[in-house]
Order: sequence, then structure tokens, then C-alpha cells
Amino acid sequence: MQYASTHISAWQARAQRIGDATLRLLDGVAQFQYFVSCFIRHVLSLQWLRRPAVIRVLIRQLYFTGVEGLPWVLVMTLAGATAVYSVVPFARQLNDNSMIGTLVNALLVQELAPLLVSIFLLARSGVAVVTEIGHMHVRGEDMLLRSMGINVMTYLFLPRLIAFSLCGLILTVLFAASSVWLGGLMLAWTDQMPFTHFLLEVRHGASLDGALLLVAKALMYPLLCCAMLLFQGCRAGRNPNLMPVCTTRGVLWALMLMLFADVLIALLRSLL
Amino acid sequence: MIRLCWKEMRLLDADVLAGDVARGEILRLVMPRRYQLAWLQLMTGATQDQPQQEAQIWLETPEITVDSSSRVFSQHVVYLLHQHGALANLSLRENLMLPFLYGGLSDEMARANDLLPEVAEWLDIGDALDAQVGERSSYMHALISLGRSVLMQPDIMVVQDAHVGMQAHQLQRLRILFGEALQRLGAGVLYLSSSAQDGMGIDFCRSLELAGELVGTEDM
Repeated sequence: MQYASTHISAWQARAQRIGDATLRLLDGVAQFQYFVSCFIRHVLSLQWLRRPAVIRVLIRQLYFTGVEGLPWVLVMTLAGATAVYSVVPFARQLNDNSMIGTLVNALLVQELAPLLVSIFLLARSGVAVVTEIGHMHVRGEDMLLRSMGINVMTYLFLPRLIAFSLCGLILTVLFAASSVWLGGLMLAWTDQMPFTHFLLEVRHGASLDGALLLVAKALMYPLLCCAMLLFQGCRAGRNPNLMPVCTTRGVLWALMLMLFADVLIALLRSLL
Repeated sequence: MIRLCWKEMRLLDADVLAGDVARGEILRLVMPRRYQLAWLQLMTGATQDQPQQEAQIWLETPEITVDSSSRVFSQHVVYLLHQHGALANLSLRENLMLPFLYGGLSDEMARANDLLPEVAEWLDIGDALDAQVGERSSYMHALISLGRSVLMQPDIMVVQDAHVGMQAHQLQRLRILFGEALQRLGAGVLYLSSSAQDGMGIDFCRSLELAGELVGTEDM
């Protein structure tokens, strides 16, 4: 009898823990959804365009995320070019050269490029964003901004989100284009395939749908990453000890969010 | 007459009586630090993006009444916060000009830009205007807030223990500068202090003490 009651109370404690964790998760999801809806409302209002302070932050963020990140993306092109280089022998094994364009577009342009560039942005600029926002909260700078009638969403978050999206798009397109170009050069250099022939195959495999998918992913993944990082940065509150926790949580959840989005897009595409 | 008003309310675990401070009047509220922060959060609308409840602190002008979360309110009321006067990643110039750069009104921006060299010289920070703020002392935070206040020409200044934690000679200089600023602006002051003895040497017309509950009202 006593064993049964102990057993039941242990199960009740477990159920309580699972329930608490689920409620916390749902609360976090609701807060994140509110955060994203605030961002969309502020972007669409377009009032930020007539605020020089916001434009200045946006330019700084574009420089930091886009211009300073460009050399690293070009270095990453080596990985993209290697992927392109590996596709050709694979297509030759199947005795189907038309597979080259399809594979390059499906694997590199639509999948690898947006994912790799987003992970790069997350690792390089994302960590900086979450720690910067966290420190601003710890130092009470959010209260100072509010005391001046400055909307934190418009001044702090919006430029970073826009910069992440824009730079994500530009860097992804650059990464994909330079990977194809460098991969083609490597193929020509090793006498596997003439450069122009390779470019023609890639062009045959390209489609408007694929290009739109690239644009959508290249805009959305960095945006989701940045939104999650900002959201977690705010959660540090006034406690500096929470900074490492928020940074780790921000990076991990941003990665998860990106993967969920990728799976969701794949599912939707297969359904449509 | 422009007045900053608040209704009778519950602040954390304390009751606060309704009150107001008019332009040209100097009022001190003595309360511990956590009550000060709660008061400031109430004033600055820390939940700016959420649906606003009934305003508890508002500004009455002859023309309109504006609640503390509105942008108009922040054009009439400025804050000198302890250790929170500047954004670390901006230059001194950008910190001083931030409300104008955010507002985006070209006339106001031009006026503040013209006044900026004079204010910087008065505060003796002219040489450092383009330096990044970074980590600064309480004194520098107070100077930046004071400079911004003079540029904004407010009707009411809310000061939260701005004089605490600085060296004696800096405190003396800040007192002089604050007095000059008050004389120049003619603004009303709501001084949130954690000590009834402190207060930057200002003659307060009224001083209310809050310590868990409202202890008393004293005319100075």
C-alpha cells in the first residue's frame, strides 16, 4: 500500500514537472509570437524610415553584418565549390549530365546556401547581437531609451532584424553564385568539364520556383535567427549572470527554429 | 500651468497619495531604490508595446493632457537617472542628440545642433564629443543627462539620485551646473532620492517620504 502511494506520488511529481515545462514552453512561444508580431507591425508602419537615429543603427548593422562578414562568406565559398565539384562525378556515374544542373540547384542553391550562410550569421553576428542587447538591459539602457520616448522595438530591434534579413539575402546569393562559378572553374581546371558547358547545365537546371525559394529562405532564416537572439537577449533582464545562459539558449533555439522552418518548407512543398 | 500629476496608487507594497509638481516647483520624493525603479518604470511605460492600462502618471498642459507612455510626454519631461545617462556604444554627441535624431523633426534637430557646441563647452565636454561613451562614471552620466536636458528644454525634470556615487569636487561642480540649468530652463523638478539628507543642495518646496507606507508630508 505504502509502495503504491510512493509510486503514485513519484508519477505525480513527474507529471507536474512535464506540465510545468510544457507551460513554460507555451508561454515562451506566445511571447516570441508577440515579439515577432510587434516587429511586423513596426516594419509595416514605415515610420522608422523618417527617423535618422534608426537609419544610423541600420547602416552600422549592415556594415557589421554584411560588409565585415563578406570576406568570411567568400572563404566559405570553398565548401560550396567543393560540393559543386562533387556533383559532376556523381552525375557522370548515373550517365546523366542533365542531373548536374538539377543537383546544383536543388542541393546548393536551395538548401545548402541559405542554411550555411544563416549558420555563419548566427555564429558571427548573432552572438554579438544577443550579448549587446543583454548588456544594454543589464545596464538599464532600455529604460533610458524609454525615458526619451524612444521605442525599443523601433530603435534597437528593427534595424538589426532588417540588417540580418537583407545581409542574409545578399550573402546567400553571393555565396551561391561564387560557389557555382568557382566550382565550374575547378571542373575546367581539372579537365572534367568545360566551364561554359557546366554553366549551361546549371542554367538548364535553374527554375523560377527555385530562385524564389532561395530568396524566401535567405530572408526568413536570418530573420528568425535574429528575432530569437533578440528575444533571448531581452530575457537577461537586469541580471548579468543570465547573460551566458541567454546567449547559449538564443543560439540553440535559433538553430532549432531554422531547422523547423526548413522541415516545414520541405513538407509544404511536398504537399503542394 | 504645466503640471506632472499622479493619482493615488499602489507602488510595490506601498501606498502613494495623489500629487503633482508644477513647472518651476521642486518636489522631493524620498523612497528606497526599488521604489524609485518601480516609479520610473511606471513613468517610462516599460510595457510600451502592450495595451496601455489607465494612466497613473500624466502631464497636464493648458491645451492637452498626455499620459506618461506617449511621445508628447517625453518631449516635456526629461530624466536624469543614476548611472543611466548614456548609451555605451554611441558617441557623446550622438547621446546628446539622440532624442532629436529619433524624432526626426528637422527644425528641432537644427536648433539642437546649433545649441550643442555651447552646451558642450558649458559642461566642459567639448573635446570628447566624438568619443565613444563606453563605461563612464556617475558624474559623466549625470553631465550627459544634464546636457541633453538643456538641449530638450523640458518643462519637468525627473531626477533619480543623479548625485550619488561621485567624488566631492565633482558633486560640487554638478550642483553648480544643475542650478544653472534650472535657472536657464525654469523647469519643475521631481527629485527621487533614497536619503532625506541628500538632494544636490536644492531647496525643496515639498518633501514626501515613502518607506513601505507614506510616512508624512513636510513643507520645507
